[in-house]
Amino acid sequence: MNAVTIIDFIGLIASIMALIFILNDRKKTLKHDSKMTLLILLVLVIFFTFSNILEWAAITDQLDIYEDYFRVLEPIMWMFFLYVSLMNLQIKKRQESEESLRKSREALKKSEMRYKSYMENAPVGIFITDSSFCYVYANTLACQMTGYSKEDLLKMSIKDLLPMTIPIKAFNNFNTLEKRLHDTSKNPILIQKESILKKKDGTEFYALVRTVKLSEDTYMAFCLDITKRKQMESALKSTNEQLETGKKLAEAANHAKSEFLANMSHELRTPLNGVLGFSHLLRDTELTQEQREYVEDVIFSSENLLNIIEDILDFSRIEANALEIDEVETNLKQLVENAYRITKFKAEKKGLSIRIQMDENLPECVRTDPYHLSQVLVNLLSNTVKFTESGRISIRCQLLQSDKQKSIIKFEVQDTGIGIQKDMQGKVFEYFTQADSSITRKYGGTGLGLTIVDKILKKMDSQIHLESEPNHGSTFSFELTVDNC
Amino acid sequence: MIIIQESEIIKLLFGLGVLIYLYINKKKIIELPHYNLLFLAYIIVLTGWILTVLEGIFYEQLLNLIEHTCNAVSSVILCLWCYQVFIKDDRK
Repeated sequence: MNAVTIIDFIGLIASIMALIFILNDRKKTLKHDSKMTLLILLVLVIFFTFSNILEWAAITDQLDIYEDYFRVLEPIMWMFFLYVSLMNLQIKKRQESEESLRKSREALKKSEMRYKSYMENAPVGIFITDSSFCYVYANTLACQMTGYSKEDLLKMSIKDLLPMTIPIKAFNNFNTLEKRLHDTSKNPILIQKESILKKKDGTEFYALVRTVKLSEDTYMAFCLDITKRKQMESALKSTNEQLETGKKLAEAANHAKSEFLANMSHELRTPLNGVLGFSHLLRDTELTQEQREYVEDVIFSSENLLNIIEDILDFSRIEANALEIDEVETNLKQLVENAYRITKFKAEKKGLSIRIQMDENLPECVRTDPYHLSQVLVNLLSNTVKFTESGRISIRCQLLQSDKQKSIIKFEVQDTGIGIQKDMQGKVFEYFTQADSSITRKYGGTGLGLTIVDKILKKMDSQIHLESEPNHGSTFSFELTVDNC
Repeated sequence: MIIIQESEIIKLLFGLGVLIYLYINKKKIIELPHYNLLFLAYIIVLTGWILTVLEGIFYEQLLNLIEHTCNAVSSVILCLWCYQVFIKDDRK
């Protein structure tokens, strides 16, 4: 066997393998390609195979007579195969583009239907206009808003919906809108504004109009009827104005009341001090037992009245925001002892034991408002004496924390009195409030004492705390931060 | 002694005609799958046809060997093209 025979044999094997590849994948390929092309290719490869067989056979001098026919047919087969392949390619491409076009059309149709559905069912009125602002589309809600039919609206322009009652303003607005919408430097343009529009029946309505430039000659406006909102805003504005007027009147009345109270308290206190002074003088004169008792009653009643007037005066000062804290150097121990001494007489007179506990480490001198701190302590102590029938009262003063500059001191006033129910504990610090009306009847008072204490302490950046249990007593406490001297 | 068969001349002329057709439609041909393999197979087989004619004029033995080699290589490339189109691409 020579070299040519071997080469021809290799060619023959390659042709047969090509034939096998085509036949082996015939079904799959048919799905994608035309039958004709495949057939031609099959014939070509068969031809190639035969040609190789003949080449191989020609060497062996067995089939030489057929070789000439095959020689001529070979390029014709190639030509035919290439031609059919190209034709098939063109057909395939056309089919693909047609399919693609069909799908695009379907998608476009669906999209258009969706878009129409959105537009028709949108919860706002939608208008589409051309470059001359004539309506080319209006949805159902837009027709309902304006009262026009779709056909009517499509014959109209934006100007037809602007009210004639305010023509200048409306047309100025329209001209501005037109200019801004035609401004091509800003794209997309979006303008939102509230406008008054005219209905078919001539009535007007407020609308929030949002205009968008869709393209060079198309504008879309979303329109929301805000008439009700405008009416509510107007009503709200009117109510607010009324409330404001009412508030001013109430404030003026309150101020007048406070001023009246302050003046009256002052006017009452002056003659009352006269009554008290002369009653004291009268008590020191020679009197019968009965007369002495009357004088004692006068003094007691006058003192009570003076206390009430003092409370009202303080209250009016607080109400008028006239309460001012004036911090000066104060001997704290002495201040607490003074408050203790003031109350001691009343407590002992009532048969109560009263004791004072002072922390040994308390600073001698601190900067605070002695007048108001004393007022707080005396008020708290007087309160405990008032509401304690038996038992004891104690005042404690404890240093919680101290450094060179500041000290935190805790004040605590405790009694074994009637106590306050849990649900009433917050109310005792309100104006003119006592735990219940029977207490007012039994113990008297204005219900201002604890309120004044609370207000003063708040002004001094502190806070009153109350722990109490009915029939077991109460504990009032507060912490005060003071500067050291 | 020059021995040229008529069938060989006709085949060569047809082959050159196909080449012209390929040249005219080259933009379309490149859209065929693995067109380069197909084109190469044709060029080699055309070379074989040219050599068939030439072997009748000179170097008979050598050109005959090259002609047969061209036919075989063309068959192999066509086989490869069939493999790419019908086997490998289908797997993808």
